[in-house]
Amino acid sequence: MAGTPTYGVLLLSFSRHSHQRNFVPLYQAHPRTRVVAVADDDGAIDEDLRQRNRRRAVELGVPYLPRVDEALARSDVDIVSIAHDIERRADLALRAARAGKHLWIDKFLGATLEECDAVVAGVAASGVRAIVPSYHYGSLVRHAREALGTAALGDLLGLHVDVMFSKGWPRPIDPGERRPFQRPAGRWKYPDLKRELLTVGAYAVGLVQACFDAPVTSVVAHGDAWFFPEHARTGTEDFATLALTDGAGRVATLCGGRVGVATHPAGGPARACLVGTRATVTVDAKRPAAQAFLRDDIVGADYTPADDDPMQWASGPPVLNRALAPDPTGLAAGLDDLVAALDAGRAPAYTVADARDNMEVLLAGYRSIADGGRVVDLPLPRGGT
Amino acid sequence: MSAPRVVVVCGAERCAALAGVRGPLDVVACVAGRRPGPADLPREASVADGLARGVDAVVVLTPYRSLAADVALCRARGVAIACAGPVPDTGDDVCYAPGRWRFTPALRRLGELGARPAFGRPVYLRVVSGGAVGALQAWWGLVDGLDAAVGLLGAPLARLWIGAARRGNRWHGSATAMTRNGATAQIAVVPAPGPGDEAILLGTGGLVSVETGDTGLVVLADDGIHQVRPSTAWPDGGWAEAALCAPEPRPSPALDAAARRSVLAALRLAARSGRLQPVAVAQG
Repeated sequence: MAGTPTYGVLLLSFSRHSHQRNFVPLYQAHPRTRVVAVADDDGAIDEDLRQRNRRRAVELGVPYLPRVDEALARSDVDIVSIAHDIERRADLALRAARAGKHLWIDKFLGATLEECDAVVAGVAASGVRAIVPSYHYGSLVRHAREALGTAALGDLLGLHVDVMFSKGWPRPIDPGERRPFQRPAGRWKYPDLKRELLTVGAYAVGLVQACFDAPVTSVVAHGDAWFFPEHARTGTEDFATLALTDGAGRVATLCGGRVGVATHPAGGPARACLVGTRATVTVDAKRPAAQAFLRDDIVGADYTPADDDPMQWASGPPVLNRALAPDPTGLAAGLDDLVAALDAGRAPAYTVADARDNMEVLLAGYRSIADGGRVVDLPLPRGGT
Repeated sequence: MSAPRVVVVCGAERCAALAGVRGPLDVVACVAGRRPGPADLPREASVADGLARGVDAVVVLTPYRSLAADVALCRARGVAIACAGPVPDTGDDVCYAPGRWRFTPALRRLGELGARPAFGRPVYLRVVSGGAVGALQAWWGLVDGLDAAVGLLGAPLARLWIGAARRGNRWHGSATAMTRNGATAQIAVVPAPGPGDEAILLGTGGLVSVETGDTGLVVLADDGIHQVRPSTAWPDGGWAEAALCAPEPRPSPALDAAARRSVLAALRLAARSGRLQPVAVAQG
């Protein structure tokens, strides 16, 4: 690919709560990207993360830079891969955009709707390109868009999505340790859990965004801790459901949650029903798949999560079905889209505005859960989210 | 005892279920929609015409606007009538025989698996079923789905929201329900024929599910790949036999008569307004 530039990628941190470790092989494999450094603000992070960042830099053979602003000043940095804790992402995204760097952001722009709005505005003002790759390029959306592209479906009336992660080791919950449901209020980071409406439900909302051409207008949600004492003790949800309508009068329902290992042959269902006037189409992100029933693998399977990854954020249980799709998560396709967007001077298919809207739906869901299942209208008022 | 002689009322979207009804019951005629029923089954234009055959009972698989008048006619003639859903525009629900879902193979199997100790506590139910060509069919589908939710989640309803979308006469209804044990059900009724066997039941011990594409009968043809649904997938035969022949009492429905009518009103309002509509459910 002589004559075409390669883009230097700066990795902004390896938070345990992020997917930077999944992004690195993509940058390494892509002919148009190269990792140039790892950076963080050492004074703002804990020792564990400082050490992890340094280890990763050594493994990658690139420098570790302990001050983000100095890293952003480097001329060999074109793209900043932001995978810090949610609470730090908006600040880093805005600083990177002001420095003229393009952005690859892991799942969420910020911890509040106001932070997300600020990132959207900051990206627009700076003229950089920004992608949030997690929700738009995977098999679930790819299959659904194929169905939407056929005349067989007719007009889309509704969408129903179930996404669950068969991860973590559920344990009985003592009713005495259960805390009332807590609204996020800008705090997402817990040492031993993730809020799963946000973490898993975001994929289902991403599918809604891909299928509905009008914004979401109302939401009802329910959520609770069913599987993990960690969630019960903190008043957070490990499983949640959400029903919504859009501006064109369509309806959607979805669920998202972490439901424990060994509950699904492919690591958790990721299915959707697209309801049209002429047909209903079922989409399964885990199909087509090769089914592997290998005796030694099955009878010798160890489903116990590793001690240092009990919720299996960075690992997964043994699976019996393996999707045939070469890029089921769509991250490689997302990187292709970002590179093409940079070459063409256009926006990628899923932008920071889309990610902001995705989070707004989820925040409306949290508000509904906290208010006992009230119907919450969108757009949400700004302030105090 | 010989099987009761019955007239069956069914819409076009449910004609495929007739074969299953003819097993346990002596179906002498059908009052059917546009799609022709079995070739050897006489068709009548109305329930009144069907009653002229001297039948023991009328079985209604599909709702229609004048159902209440036909219920009154049957009662006046002393003929039993069993409806798979509630009667629109009337509080007369005596003829409603709830629980058609119990005869759907997929949901019945989910119920059996969900009763095993390994399943743990119920958390979530998803059901996608067909048959919602019009508003009344969507209503019946939602009411049946809510009955399934109570049966499979093991607790009465505590809260309920209805959503709906329509284009012309093609209706799509959804119900989001929370049961008193905190579990949630999401029921979708789609405007397509079919008994509906896409279902997921999640418990604290794991997941049991039945998928639409898992019919076990796949045809590779010039015009594509087709799944063929076996006639045993329809619940109507078992349900109708139980409704007419099983000793009382019938299973209790998830919703009382007032709440069932509220579901229909909410369905229509949701389709008009584009908003989710709450429905009050009885708190026993």
